[in-house]
Amino acid sequence: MASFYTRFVRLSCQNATQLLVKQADAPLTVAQRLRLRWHLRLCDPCARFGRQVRLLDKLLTRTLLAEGLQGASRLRPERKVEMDNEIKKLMNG
Amino acid sequence: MKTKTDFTDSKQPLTLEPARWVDRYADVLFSLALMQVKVAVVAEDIVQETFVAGLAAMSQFKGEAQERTWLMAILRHKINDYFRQQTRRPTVLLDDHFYDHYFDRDQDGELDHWLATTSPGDWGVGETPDESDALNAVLYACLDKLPPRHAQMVTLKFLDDTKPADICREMGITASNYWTLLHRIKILLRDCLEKNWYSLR
Repeated sequence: MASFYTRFVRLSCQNATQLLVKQADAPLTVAQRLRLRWHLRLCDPCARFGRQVRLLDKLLTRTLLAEGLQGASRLRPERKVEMDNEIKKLMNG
Repeated sequence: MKTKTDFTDSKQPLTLEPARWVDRYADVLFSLALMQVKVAVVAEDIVQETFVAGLAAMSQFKGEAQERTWLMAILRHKINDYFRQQTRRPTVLLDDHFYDHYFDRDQDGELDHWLATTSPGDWGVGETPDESDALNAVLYACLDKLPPRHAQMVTLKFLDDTKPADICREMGITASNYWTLLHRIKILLRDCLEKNWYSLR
């Protein structure tokens, strides 16, 4: 039979990282918060994961704006001509 | 659609000028589409469909959004249409063995601790990313390597600032799928950034 510790206190790193990800978007239950806090005091890799995904969140918005919106990839010129022609045809039709 | 991009470029006009669309937005829309659908010819078709749909919907443009933002909203719907047409595939492809690349298992076979090979290392930085175009480029390459639909969720969440419930509705996934997908996205991107940026500095 699982002990009180494994059933109610212990958290795997897999579960801890799930809670860390969820925490950025939605409130955790009191029990989840306590278990997570306990885990993070004992587990350096998960504590680092938590800090790094918070950094990642900030970076994602910035990167998508910078790379996505500056056009990191280039559409083929011949396809651009085709699109431009279609637009002009539709505008005049 | 309200997005974070509404106020970033005040130089753009609040009227529509379709004759300039290809020149102004083709690369932007193509980059966003390619990152999500992964196949260049599909992304090209989606951009073209976006322009055609934009022309057809011009009378509905009220001048409240930037022209670019308005076209991005149409693109977003076209990308979603594309994924929905892929009905023979499961909505979101989730690899059953994904977590075994990152965590070991306890004696009961339950996922447990980080594996030594993928355990988060010390990046030697705080929680504020440094200003670097090179870092942006590395992360963009990491986004490009994500499995199908993962980048769609990233775009909806971090570029369009869509609420979780709306992302679920738009992508046709359950709340449970949402959290699993987001967890996997962050594990993948964190690992990719560590291997291609933070451990190399």
